[in-house]
Amino acid sequence: MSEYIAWLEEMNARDTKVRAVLRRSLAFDPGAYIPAFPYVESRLTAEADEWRRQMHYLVAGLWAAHWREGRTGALMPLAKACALHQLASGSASTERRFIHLLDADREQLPHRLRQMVALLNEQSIDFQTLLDDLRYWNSPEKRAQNAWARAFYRTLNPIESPDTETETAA
Amino acid sequence: MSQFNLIDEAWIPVRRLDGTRVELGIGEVLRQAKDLAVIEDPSPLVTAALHRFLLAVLYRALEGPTDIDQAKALFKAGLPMDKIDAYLERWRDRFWLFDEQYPFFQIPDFEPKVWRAWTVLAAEHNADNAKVLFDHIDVTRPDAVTPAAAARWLLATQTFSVSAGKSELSHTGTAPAATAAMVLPLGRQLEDTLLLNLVPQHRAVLAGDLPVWEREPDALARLKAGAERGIAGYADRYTWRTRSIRLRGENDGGVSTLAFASGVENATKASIDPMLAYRIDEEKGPRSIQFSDRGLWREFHSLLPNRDAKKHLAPSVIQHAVELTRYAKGRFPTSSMVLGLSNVPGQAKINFWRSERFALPETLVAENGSPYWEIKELLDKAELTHASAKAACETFARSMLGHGERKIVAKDVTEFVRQMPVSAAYWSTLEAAFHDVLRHYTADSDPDAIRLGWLKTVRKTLRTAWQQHAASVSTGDAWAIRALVRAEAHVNKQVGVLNKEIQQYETHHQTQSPSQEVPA
Repeated sequence: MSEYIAWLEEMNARDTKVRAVLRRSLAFDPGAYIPAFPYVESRLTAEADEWRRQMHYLVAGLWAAHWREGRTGALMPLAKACALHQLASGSASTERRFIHLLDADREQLPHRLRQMVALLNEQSIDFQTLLDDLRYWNSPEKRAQNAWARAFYRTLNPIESPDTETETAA
Repeated sequence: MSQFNLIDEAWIPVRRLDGTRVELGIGEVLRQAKDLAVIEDPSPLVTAALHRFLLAVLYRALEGPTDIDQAKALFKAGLPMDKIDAYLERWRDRFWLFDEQYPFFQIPDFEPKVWRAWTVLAAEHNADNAKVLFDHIDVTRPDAVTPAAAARWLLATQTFSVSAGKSELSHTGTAPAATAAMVLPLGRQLEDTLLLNLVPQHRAVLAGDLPVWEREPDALARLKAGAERGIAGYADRYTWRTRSIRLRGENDGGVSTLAFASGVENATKASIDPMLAYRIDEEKGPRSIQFSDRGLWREFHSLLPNRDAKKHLAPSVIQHAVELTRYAKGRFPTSSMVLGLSNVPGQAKINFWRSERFALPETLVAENGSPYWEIKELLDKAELTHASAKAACETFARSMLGHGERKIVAKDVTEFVRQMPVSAAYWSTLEAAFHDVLRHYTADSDPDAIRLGWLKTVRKTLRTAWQQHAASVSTGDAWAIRALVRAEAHVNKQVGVLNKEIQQYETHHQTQSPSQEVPA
């Protein structure tokens, strides 16, 4: 599971077809585009549940769509990237979209994520972290959503000493 | 025909040192005072009124104390029963509950147009009758009450009646100190309690300080016109005729109806009551401290003597108790009761009545003196920290109500915040901790250690109170999560401030001596 994106980068360096295939897979439901199978199934262990499988496909597709030649800059978690986008654009529409994204259920998530990643095409996004976070998207405590919200607002309004004990368990 | 003399009959409820409960007359209560623990009644109002009544008896029987030296001598020697018995004998015929000429605390010739049910004595203290504890109801005739109970409620009514509009005679006034919180330091037994609260009065004042039974009953004509006079002294104050009452005894001695109307108006409302704590307003002068929805503990320092503090005047009884036990530390009142009611200001509607207990800091009688300023600091810190919790709640409310876009009405925000559990959880937890902290103020305690412990408690309480709320919200929709994360900033900031202070104390302590921290 870890290093998946790193592996994709490696594959991509050897064969440009990788990105093209994965980009196309976004037009289909995650895990339903057969040509993309070689780039995911080989990396999943036998215990991987359906959700993890789908998220691998989704994130692989997003990574491919987002990829730019020669992009520099440190990789940022998605939430932080959204906040920076909001700060740069000066409008509150990014925040609304972000909230909308947080509210997504399993069916709505792929579509809304695609839209968000498309919006952030100028920034370097840390897709590995995204993949790791999405694993917990459906937990009743909403760990991923809470953590993203926290990261978003903290970037928007930095304070001196964040108190980790006050945060709900992320 | 005279019946039920309060000196001999059993009507004052007390608990002995061995735990048994009994009712005694005035004579026996004072005679056995060394073997009685406390005066105890289910109603805080009756309890307070009984103490004040007995103190009035003592002021007259002892003709003093007139200064601190006399008070100290009394404290050393105990109550002189010979003087008390002599006094009670002399005024025996003013203590009949039922009498043609001098019924106790009543107007003998008051013939009302309407005879009221006896519950009007108790009803004035209860907005909801179901809450009153009646274990004195005559089971054969439930609409009557025993003379003992009638006597107790009579005292409570005269002490705690609040202005309630017109009556058969004239406009009803408010008893002196009726709406304030009365402080009573408690001794090891009832005799000590009474002496600790018997604040000296100047000889000249004592001479004219007549309690109600030493006066002629006020004339009906005067009462109808609206009788008014100034308070002459403590005994007068403690037995003020706030209402004109005449009990009608039934054949079996019970009381089922009575006459009830306005009494004497207090013309000296600014005079200081020894049992009250005062806040000093720059323009209006001393204002007595009252019970409210805020716990009294949040202003506890107002009960403590203080030098240089321009804002508070501690109750005279506390100052007096400190004076008496400074060189008799074994008899220092380790706790104090605070009793009273809370009403809607300007109305007769009673919100609640209450009895609270507070430990009194031992340092009051030690070299370190009154911890007024230390405790004020602790409470200020608690208030400041709460402000951050409140700000967090308001931010949360605004975020939830408006989603950042819709216009929000301030009233809606207030209502929303009111139903959030954060403040209630914060204050209730801190209250328990505060009572504990009071016990730590001993002669050899380190105020810095106490303060450090308190800071840690406050920090923990803030976190927990907010955390409980956050946990219930974080599983909600994205708007709730957004509101939560935005609101958190206030709490985080305050925790940061507290962290810094705690760190400062801890490094300071490290360099000073091995830590003698008070557990948080």
